[in-house]
Amino acid sequence: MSQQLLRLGIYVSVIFTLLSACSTSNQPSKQQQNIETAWLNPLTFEQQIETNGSLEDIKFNIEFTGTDEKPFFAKGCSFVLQSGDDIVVDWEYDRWQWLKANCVGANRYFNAPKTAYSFWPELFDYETIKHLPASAIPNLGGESLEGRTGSLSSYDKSLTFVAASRENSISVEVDGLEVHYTQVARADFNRDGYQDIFIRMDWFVKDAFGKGTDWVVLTKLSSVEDPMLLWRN
Amino acid sequence: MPLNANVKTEVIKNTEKFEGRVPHLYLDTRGLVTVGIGHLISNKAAMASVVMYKKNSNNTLVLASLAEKQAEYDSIKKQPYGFSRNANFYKLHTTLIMKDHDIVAQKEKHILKFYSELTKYYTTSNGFAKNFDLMPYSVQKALFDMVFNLGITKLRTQYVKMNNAIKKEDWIVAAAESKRVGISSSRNNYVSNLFLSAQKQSITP
Repeated sequence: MSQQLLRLGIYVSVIFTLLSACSTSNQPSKQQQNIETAWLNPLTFEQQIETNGSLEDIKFNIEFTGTDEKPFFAKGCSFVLQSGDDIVVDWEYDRWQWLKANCVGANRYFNAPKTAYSFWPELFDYETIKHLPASAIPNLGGESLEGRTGSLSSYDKSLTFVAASRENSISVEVDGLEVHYTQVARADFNRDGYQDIFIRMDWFVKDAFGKGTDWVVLTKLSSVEDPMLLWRN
Repeated sequence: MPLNANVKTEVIKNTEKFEGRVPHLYLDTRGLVTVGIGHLISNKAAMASVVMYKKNSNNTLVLASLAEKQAEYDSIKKQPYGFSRNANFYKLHTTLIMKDHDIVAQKEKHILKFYSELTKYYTTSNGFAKNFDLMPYSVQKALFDMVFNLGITKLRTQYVKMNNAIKKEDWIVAAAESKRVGISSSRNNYVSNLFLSAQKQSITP
């Protein structure tokens, strides 16, 4: 009798476990997700940087031409983040925006919790880009972002893979633009417990001289949901 | 109708101000060989159309041969590239330069291409009050700056509110809707003020 009760108990617990697994397969709980460590792309400044310390530990030596047409060197993010946008000549504005985007991403990384649950795929590849929201595209002003819904690949049929020329960077052509998406950092930037991605978008107009850098922060709240836009530049 | 000379001069001056002028070869942030006012050289063979000079033993400039220009192209193409390097970085690796008038001539070719695109789109048949050539000169200069940056497709399809204002010759709204993202505030102000000056001209008796 006691053996029959034991067997019954085992059957019930197995069935209960299976049912629980089925009912949560589309809505994974936090406990089922990996806890990921925050990450800063060590090559986002095009040179190896220290990612374990603080923002002040990031050192570089990048030449710019000031508005007085004299050269100056940017050496750290504090200087970049405290300086205005019109510190450089017009033709180096895109480079300055590139450096500023990296510093904004690094600053957010150092201010974010060091671990979070993550639903992001491990690889930052063309598949990741295809599933980004359609609004994750450089803002060129005018009405360039209006009405962009769904995913990038479903909205922009012109989306084409060009190259993965650098680690954590994917180049595509979309809507008359060449866009280089670079993963700058992964961290829980908005402190909701889930890891987000800071993506820099370097863009070039295909049939003209326009170029620039924009950035977005995206979150992903479950394994089945597409990424959502949290913030943009 | 040819492009007004005053407009052309201003466009050359401002594209140089906004795009920069580099007389030697360099790599842009994507690693593409570039010279002059943002002129991309698509491949080694295209060096044939770029007029460059070298200094001879008397320190005077003499025309560089195609072989010399292509060797310079190869030498620059091997250099590292990216956002962390500006054009000055490549100067040490070059021996050839372009003369100012050749840089301007190169730029004029780009201007003619964009002029052709502007005159095809800004027409009375597309709903504008005037054809491009008959628009105020300040508006022509503003549209030139925008087309250089955005290309005609984006200027046409992503600046619909601005173009609707231009159709009505409402220069105040056109000025407000001309604001671009990714360029300096001084460049945005330059274009905005060009539209606003058309407004002032239109109310001058």
